[in-house]
Amino acid sequence: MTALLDVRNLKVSFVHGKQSRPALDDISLSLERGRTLGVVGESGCGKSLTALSIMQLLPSPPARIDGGEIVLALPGSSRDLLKLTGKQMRNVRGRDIAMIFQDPMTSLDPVYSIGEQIAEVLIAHEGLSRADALKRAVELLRTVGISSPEQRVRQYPHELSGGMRQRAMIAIALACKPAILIADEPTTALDVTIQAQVLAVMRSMQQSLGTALLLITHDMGVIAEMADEVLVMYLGRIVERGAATEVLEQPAHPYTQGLIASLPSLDMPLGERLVPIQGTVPSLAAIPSGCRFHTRCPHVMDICRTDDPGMRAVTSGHEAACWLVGRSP
Amino acid sequence: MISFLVRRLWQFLIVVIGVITIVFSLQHLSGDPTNLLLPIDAPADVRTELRHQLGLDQPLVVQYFRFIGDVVQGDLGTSYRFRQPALGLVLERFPATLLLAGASLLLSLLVALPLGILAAVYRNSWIDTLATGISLIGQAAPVYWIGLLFILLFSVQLHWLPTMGGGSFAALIMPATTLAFYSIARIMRLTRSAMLDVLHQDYIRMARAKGLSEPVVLIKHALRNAAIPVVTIIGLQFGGLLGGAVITETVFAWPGVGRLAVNAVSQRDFPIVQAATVVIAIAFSLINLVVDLLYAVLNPRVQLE
Amino acid sequence: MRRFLASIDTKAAVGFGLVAIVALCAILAPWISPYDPNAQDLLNSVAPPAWAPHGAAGHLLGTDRLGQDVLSRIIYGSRVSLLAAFAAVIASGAIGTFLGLVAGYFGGWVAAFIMRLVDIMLAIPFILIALVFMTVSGPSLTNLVIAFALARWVQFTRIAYGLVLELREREFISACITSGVSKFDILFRHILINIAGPLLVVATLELGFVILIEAGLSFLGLGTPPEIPSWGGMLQEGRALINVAWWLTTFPGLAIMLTVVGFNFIGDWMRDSFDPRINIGRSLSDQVVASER
Repeated sequence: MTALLDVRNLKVSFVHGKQSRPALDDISLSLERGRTLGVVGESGCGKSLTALSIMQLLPSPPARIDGGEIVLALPGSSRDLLKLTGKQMRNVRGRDIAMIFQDPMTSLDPVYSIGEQIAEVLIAHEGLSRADALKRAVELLRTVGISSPEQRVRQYPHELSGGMRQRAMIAIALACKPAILIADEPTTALDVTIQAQVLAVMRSMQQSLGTALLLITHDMGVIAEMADEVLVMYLGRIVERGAATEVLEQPAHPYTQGLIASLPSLDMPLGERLVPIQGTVPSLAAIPSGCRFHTRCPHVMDICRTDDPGMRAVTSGHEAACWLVGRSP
Repeated sequence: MISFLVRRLWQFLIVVIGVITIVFSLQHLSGDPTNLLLPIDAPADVRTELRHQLGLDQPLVVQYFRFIGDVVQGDLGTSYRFRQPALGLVLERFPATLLLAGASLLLSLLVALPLGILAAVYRNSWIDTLATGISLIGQAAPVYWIGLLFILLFSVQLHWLPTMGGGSFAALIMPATTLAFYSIARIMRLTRSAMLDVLHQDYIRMARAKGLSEPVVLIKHALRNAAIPVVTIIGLQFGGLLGGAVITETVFAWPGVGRLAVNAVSQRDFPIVQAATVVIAIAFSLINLVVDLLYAVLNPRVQLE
Repeated sequence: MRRFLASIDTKAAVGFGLVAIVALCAILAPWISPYDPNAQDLLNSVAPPAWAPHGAAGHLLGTDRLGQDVLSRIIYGSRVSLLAAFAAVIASGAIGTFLGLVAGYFGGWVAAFIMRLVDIMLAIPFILIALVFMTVSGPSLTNLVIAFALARWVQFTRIAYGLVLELREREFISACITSGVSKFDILFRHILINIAGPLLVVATLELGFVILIEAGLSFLGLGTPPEIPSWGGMLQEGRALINVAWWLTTFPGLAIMLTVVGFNFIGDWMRDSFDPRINIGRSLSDQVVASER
């Protein structure tokens, strides 16, 4: 399958006065039609930054793109997003690539009805009249599973529940049938029961539209539920990648192992303690030498402190950036 | 929405009655109101006669209700100096004051809103610095001083504009601009900070993520949300303008209520000062009422209360 | 405390500097003033500043109609302004804070009544209240201070009331109540200490406002009598002689403005100091962005 979106060697840093800190280092990923790529990691590892970089929504004085390519390959055109003008990028946003954010309450404008907020995407990108756009909005609300869409379409965000707001966001995102949907922590702000419903909506929309989904989360359970492939990020780098089932069942990188081990599970015997990953994430100002994870790694060896392992093959299609990969345990 | 309206009207009424009550109390605070009318050494029986005439020998409560009754009928006393009903004299000059305050407000909005928006959008640029500088001076410089400086520059030095009088449009320019200084400072400062706040919100990022053009993001989403706190302050500013007009009119000899009232103070012509206060307070409250309704229209979250 | 001092930026420093200068003028007036402010020099009346064309030597900022030195009168004028300012703000602040605490403590119809009163007072521009009061009681500085106390307490009450409401809900107050601290004690020690900060901000800004109003009323002839040097009174003379003596208008006004700027800067700095910004849970990019604001 051809990649719809191909991110190659993306480097982003934060510039503060004279100093700059590398925030994303050599990120590469690709999205394919109808497939879900999960990106997982602790707060501050750069997952959201990657998403915002793709959308070119980074706040530009502090953030600076230092290198790389982001190639969007649609039928009939293949372009590097980093080379587009502002106007061209605006055409891509909302139409070819759409994004939904973590908190639907703050991401929706409180002074306009949700119908208007859906309609404006249609008006901007497909040139619909306001009346037609609102009609489509009603239909979109219906497809994301909101009951009585004719009434809901006129309601304001604060009149809806959290789950409905997130569904409305999905409706906005998918209004123009984009090829790619980026979802940044879409379920984190929701109750567990609502989470499952929203994920189901996303999956069914994906199936009917063939959208590629880039799903960012810190929740392994969501990854297990939704992702075909998964990337694990740490301190601005990818430390493990592979098919979701394989990475979850046989994590190769100690960090991934730690993330999975620190999850509570109903199968755990009573009295068994949760195992957190020791230590805390270092700040970007003090990135450890050698393997970035060595300061917290339970299996750290001498070479880890000095040499950066780079991605090493575990099996075909599964890589991890760890010196342990390829050695006998 | 209707209940909101009803509640606000009720509040308005209470404020009006309150203002009248306060004016009434102030009138009697100093002791014997006849002191305002008669020389100190007036004979006692003349004083008693006057007190009886004015109804001052009756219990305070009775006087209060009599006063309210008078006010409702439009009788706010008779000017000692002009020997005419005070309310009439005040209302005669009220349009001039409204004109001055209105022109100032318009000018303020025309300058402060764009400046505030631009200062927020182009933070830390020269526009931002200019705006901050204006807001500094506008909030600290006394309005009468600015007026005098204007006169110094535009009338005395350059002979461009007339110093006083109220006839022409030319005569309006300086007093309106002078009065507008403070408002420009306040409104611009608030617009800027409201815009800055709004521009950092998630829904602005979302609007950009939808691929909307920058003008649409700024005007349809940012400005619309920033307008909410700004509208509130515009109403309050108008009150400030009415108050500031009092002094400005004196500086420029503008024939409005303010100048009338200030002259009346030195003459101890209480009914005029009283009438001016009541009229201005009611006008201010009405404006606030309108602003509150506008606010409810702009902010859908309020409508449900 | 050290953090407080560290947070003084240029703007705050300028503010403190300006106010310090004015305060020093007021306190040290007899020693630093070049002339007696009421010393008349009729030969040199209405003389331009020494450095201007045809300037009178020895009078740095010129003289007025009676030959009195403008600089000296400005220095002495600071006394009137600061005296009026502090008296008025202490009076209105005390009343306002007290009523705010009462409203917050009792709640119910007491609070409703007080806040209604606040609404009513806010509907009348202060200068009119001052004018009404002065019509009745005569124009004077004392009456201005009284008028201020009668009217501007609302600025303090509004803030105090809102803060008390907020604080009441906080857990440490419930902790106090359950551990048996008397309600009176709670009000005065715990709550008052916590609301002192924002109230001080209001007080500082009110100081600037009083100075503007006092000068305004003196300008209108309704404040300080003309023999006592006051900035507003000097402006009144400036207006009469505006065609011939620009210095009589410019310098007193400048003094007023710089003093008010000083208080405003200090007030702004205090407001920023008392407003803690919490950085928990923000992502890196947010923190970087926020620190730029």
